[in-house]
Amino acid sequence: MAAAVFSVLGLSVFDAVNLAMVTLATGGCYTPMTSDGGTLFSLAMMAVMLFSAGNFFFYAEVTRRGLTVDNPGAGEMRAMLRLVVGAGLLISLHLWRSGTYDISDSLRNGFFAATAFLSTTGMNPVLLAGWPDFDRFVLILLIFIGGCIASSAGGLKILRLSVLANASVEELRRTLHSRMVLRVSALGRMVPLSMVGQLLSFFSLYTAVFFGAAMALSLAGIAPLSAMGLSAACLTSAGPAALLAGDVGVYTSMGEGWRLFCCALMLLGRLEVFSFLFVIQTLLSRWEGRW
Amino acid sequence: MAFFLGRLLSGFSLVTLCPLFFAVAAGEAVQPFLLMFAVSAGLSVGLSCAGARNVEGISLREGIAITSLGWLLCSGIGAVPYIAGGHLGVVDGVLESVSGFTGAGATVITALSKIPDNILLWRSMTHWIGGLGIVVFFIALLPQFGEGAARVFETESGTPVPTRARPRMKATAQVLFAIYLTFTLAATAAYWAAGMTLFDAVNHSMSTIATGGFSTHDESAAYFHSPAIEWCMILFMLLCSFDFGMYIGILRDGVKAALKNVEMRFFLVMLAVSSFVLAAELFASGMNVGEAVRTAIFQSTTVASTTGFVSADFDQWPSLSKMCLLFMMAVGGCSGSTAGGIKVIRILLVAKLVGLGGRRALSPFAREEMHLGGRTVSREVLMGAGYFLFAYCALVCLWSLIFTWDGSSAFDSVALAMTTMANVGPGFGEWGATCNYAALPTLSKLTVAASMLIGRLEIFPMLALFRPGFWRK
Repeated sequence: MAAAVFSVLGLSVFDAVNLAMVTLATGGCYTPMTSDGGTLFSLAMMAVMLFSAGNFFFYAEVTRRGLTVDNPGAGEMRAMLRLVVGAGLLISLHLWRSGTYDISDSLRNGFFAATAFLSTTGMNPVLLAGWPDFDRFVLILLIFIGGCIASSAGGLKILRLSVLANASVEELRRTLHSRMVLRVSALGRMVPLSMVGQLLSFFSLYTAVFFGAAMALSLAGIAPLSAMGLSAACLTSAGPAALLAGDVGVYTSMGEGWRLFCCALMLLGRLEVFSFLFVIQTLLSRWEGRW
Repeated sequence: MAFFLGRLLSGFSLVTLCPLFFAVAAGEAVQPFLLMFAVSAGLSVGLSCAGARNVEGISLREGIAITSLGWLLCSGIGAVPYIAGGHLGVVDGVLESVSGFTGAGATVITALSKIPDNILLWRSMTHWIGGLGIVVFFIALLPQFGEGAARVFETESGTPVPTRARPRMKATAQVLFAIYLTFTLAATAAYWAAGMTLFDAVNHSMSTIATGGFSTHDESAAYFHSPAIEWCMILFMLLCSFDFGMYIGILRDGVKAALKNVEMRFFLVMLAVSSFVLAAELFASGMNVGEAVRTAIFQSTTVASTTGFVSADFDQWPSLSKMCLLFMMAVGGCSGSTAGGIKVIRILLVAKLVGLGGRRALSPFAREEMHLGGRTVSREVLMGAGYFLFAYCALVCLWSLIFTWDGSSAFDSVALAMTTMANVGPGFGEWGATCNYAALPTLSKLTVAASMLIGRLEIFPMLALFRPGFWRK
């Protein structure tokens, strides 16, 4: 469907098929991936990126029972849409205020970038090179947030962050009532405390891996912000996002060893950190067993 | 609550007399300090009369309110000499005062040589009062704080694994104060012997022991060009990065109490690794070995202890060195010390949490007891450290967003957010080692002040004030 839409909007069949695959998989940079192709084309791409960043179980439920209020993924989908609208407006406002674009281009580029980075797809970084630091920083935060669970997007995921944010607010309440029993709910669903504990573990490990990887990458002589951008881009599977830090030659200037390191980071991020560590742990324990 | 705050301010009023007497003796302007004394004493009398005389039955909520409001009031009153003396505007004065009390040590004063000595002394005193904790300071010194003070003490110390060195809270505060005073006198003597003037020695000792960072010179520690002074500073910054409760243990049980302290051991390992990396990179960039080692240890210690003295422009150092310093900045010192940051104990607890999470993912129904430093740690404590890390990251992102909105570059903003949350002082780039905060836009200055206060009170107590239900009966 996406390929057909892109084809109708003017792309060659080859480009349309490639772009559809890249966009649906929230893959990354592909030549036509800018907001320059006209408003209709931008809207079509945004729709596909939003679809792929959405919860696929939600879609399955919709096809089975139609659009119902009690769909378990509805809360997260609403949160994602609110995030896109909020971030899109913020970026557009800032782009316009800073004089980067006129009002219509600010809106088109702002919303396109917000969708592209929240879905961890990324977009052609050449366009972003002239953007103010604030907008690029918002985009880096968006790739950390990522899409919904059970989507093709990377990042920490909206549901997880929502649970952690609500649990932290509950912890704030517990500061006042030390014997209070925590009851955490997120996006309309109760979350058991054991699950919150697991999410805190995941978040802590993710943060540690992000910072550790950025430190390791700075060994390669990459500037601190570029190292952080690269680390974030690899972990969240949002490849072109590394270039948000402003160092356009960051990928090409690295040695092969460091590129392999980035590959390992991408795998770590794609397999959601814990799973990858289990593989390593299992391999190590087997290896130790042979000795 | 009002009565307790009134008592706090009565103690604060007495402290404000010190720079007043100094100004009289030095023949400098006394009006700014007279005004500060009048404001503080007036508020103290007003609050003492307005509140009920009950300091025993303080609830947890009141404890949080007293601590947070106490910090806000003292920071506000402490800004009076800067503003009334015509040295700074209102926003700058408040930021300088907050930076002093929280121990951040970032300044907005562009030429310290033009500032009178009594103002310089007051800056250092704000560090010294805030270093141990404003409330702890006055609980130790003043009578009439009953056991209700325990609530306030625990809110201010904010350690994830609370300890009490003495059965009574007042006795604990007094022992802590005695250690604090001893370190300050020892540091003053050491700095004086190492070549500082007595005035510089007194100011820098107060600043060091509080892990603050204010200096009497624009060049900070680099002004003295003295290896002896730098080694003395390293020693005292290190001593003040450790848990002060550990020193009570050493007095009671000997050195083995320190050797058993897992937090201190981990902190020293981190410091050693960071110093080694920095020294190696400085040596590789052409510095001689001795200077490279001293500079590396000094900068690692000053950042890890969240003091923020500067002996070299670390903004010009290689990328890995900057990342190391940024990491040490975020982690900070040990709990129960005068240092800020996330604290080493929380890093250890988070590591335990991650390990537990990994094992739970493989065996969801397994039950196991977690230990740290020979003590059993409950799941609530582990999760509390996780919540703190999450809130810390969220606030760093929020502050960075505000700073970038206000025109700072992205990396400078992240570093500024981290350095102010950890109360270090210098960041990187525009707000780096050789710069100050004078050029920050107003919104950023207010954000920096908020970040310092929230970071100093370990996030949750200050944020609790803004919960809608907090002020409801």
